[in-house]
Amino acid sequence: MKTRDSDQLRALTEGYVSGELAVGQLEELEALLLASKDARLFFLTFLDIHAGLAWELRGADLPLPDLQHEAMVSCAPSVIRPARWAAMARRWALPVAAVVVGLIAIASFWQPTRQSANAAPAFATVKASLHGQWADGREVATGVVLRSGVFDLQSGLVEIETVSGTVLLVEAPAKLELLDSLHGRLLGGNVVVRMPKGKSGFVVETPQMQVTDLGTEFGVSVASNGESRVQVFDGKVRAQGRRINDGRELLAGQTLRCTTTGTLATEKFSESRFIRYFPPRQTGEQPGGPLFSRSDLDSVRIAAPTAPVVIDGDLSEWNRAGEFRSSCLPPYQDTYFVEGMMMYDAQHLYISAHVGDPEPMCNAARDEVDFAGGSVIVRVSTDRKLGWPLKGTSWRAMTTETEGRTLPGVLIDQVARTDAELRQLAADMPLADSLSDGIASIILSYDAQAQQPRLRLLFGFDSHGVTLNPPGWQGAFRKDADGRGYTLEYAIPWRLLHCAEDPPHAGDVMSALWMVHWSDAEGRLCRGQLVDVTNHEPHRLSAVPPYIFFHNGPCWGKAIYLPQEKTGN
Amino acid sequence: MRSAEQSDEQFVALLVANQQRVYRFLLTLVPSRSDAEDLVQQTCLTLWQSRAKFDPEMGEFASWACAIAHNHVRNFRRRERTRRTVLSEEVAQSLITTRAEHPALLDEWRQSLAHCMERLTPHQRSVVHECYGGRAIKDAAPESGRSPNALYKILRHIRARLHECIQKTVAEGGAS
Repeated sequence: MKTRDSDQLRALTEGYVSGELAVGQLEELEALLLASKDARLFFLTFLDIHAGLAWELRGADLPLPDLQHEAMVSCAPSVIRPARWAAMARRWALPVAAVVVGLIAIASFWQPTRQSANAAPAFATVKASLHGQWADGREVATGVVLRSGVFDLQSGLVEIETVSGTVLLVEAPAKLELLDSLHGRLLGGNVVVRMPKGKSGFVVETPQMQVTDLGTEFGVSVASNGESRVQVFDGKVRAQGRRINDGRELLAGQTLRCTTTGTLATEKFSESRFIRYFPPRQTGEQPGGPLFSRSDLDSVRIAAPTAPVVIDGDLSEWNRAGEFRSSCLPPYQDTYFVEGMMMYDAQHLYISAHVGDPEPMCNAARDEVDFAGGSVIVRVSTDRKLGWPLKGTSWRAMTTETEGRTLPGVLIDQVARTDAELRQLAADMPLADSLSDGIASIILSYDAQAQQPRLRLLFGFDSHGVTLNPPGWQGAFRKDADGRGYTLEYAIPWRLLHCAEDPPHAGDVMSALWMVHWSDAEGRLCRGQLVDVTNHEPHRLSAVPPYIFFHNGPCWGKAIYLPQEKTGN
Repeated sequence: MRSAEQSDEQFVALLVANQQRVYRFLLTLVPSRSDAEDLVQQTCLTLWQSRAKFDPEMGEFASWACAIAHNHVRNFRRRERTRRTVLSEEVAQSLITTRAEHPALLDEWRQSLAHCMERLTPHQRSVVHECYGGRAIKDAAPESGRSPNALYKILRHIRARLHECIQKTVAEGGAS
């Protein structure tokens, strides 16, 4: 097939899929298909992508509350989460059982029955959702009526009100079983319970204890290590151990911890342990998915050590001159955050981070997507000739690789709509910068399966030179005592970053970008991210959303290498 | 001798096992998802009504089901001849023949789709979910903060990337 025909076939096939063929174009497409077997194979494979996506995702946004509830119940931890085909097969289960009325039952595959969803009485409603997403990927819809069952919230914050007037603020990741309007069972995560004035009696069970409201507002958490906590914000509750016959009444300002063995122990009250209020919806939020941050930092200061660095997860010897904190947008700022530091000497780049994470160090993701299971990614330039801001982009790298106009849709939409604009953009972003070995992406994560730190390196905006755990680096992780965060500490030889001969030195201003990823409890699915240390200067790429800043060098912030004499101030 | 109920259960099991193949077959010939879903429903009803005629000795269930689905496409084309959105019978037949000549290739493509989906950016995956998640693009567009045209444009780019990725994956020996 000639290139011209190939381009025409591609355009016509896309038009056919989109239902956008103009008069006469269907005939053009048919002529091409009849003329060439290659064309038919291209068409079939292209249409099969369309069909595959439609199959995999059909019904992913069922509008009926009852149906959504039915899907949510299927995510109960006591039930094996069904694969897509199994979910489909479940819909067929009705026809199998009622095979005597086969015609009607089979039709129900495409028009799912609401009978099962209506079997249990409704007693709660989702009143508000902020980035709420169920474990099967469905968005939490406000107004959804809930019946008894387990609700597996993968991300976000969801406010539920029961018919008794009790308000439950559920913070993901969380698994909450609603038993009735005054009774819930928390299997994981955080929930804040607020009773209407003059009412009491809501009960929250955890695996280790039972908390009974005595007219109050209180939070209950079940950590990933199995420990439960109850904290009273207002009024009074009674906490009863389920394994050990020990019961206590708690007043406002008190916190009680229940260990996995059932022992109750008082603990310091921490206001920020729970999210108590649903934040007002912000207008003009940048799209970025749950837990997203708004970048406040335009630079990271990289200090010289003032004492020998021991890579053990204890940062007490670190020079904190360049320490920074970045957190996700409210109300997640106290749960999902990073406190980062970088240091340098003649041999190493040092990176440390204390990360707030309710599911710490559980990364089970593999290969190129291992960042998604929970990670810190620090991107740096190590070639001072590249200066700041960087000019390289993955778009330029990709354009060269494909020798065509395969361009990131978002970038095109935001900055270039004409050929002239594209040519100018290409001129502004030299190819050599985009492919440079002096651009490093340093992916730091904890391999939960191997139970050891992991380092993945890749270079340039084309992500070449991928290296996993190259010899010579050191890393250590340490989990927070309360199981809601971790600290990482790394020393990476400059030679691994291609600048052993001429490493950065005091006074250099290069480029850097920090990203943090949080995962689900299984450590496989990315639930949200944070992006910081970015270029705040207005420029033509400012409309690019933060989650693709890493593709675009001009969006990276400054890495300022502090002189020795100014460290430790 | 098996009871009628056992046979019916086995028949439904065959339907379950082959529903994806039928759906994808139909969506190749009728690109509109709503039209294809209607045709799947009609095909299922026909299959059920004709279940007594199905003889496993005579051939694969999938081939029989797709042949019945093809009949429904013919009927659909006749009904929709004024709209003219579906390929002619001659082209459809040549596509079916080509498909039959390369069953392994298309299976490989099918298996590689999930692998390549994972290689999309989170933003691209969210666009795919928006556009294929059960709503029409014109309905999904306002919530995504984009115009329908912008969404189509991004989707076009994503489908092209997936095609390129699958092609490469299959050439390199598959996703696994």
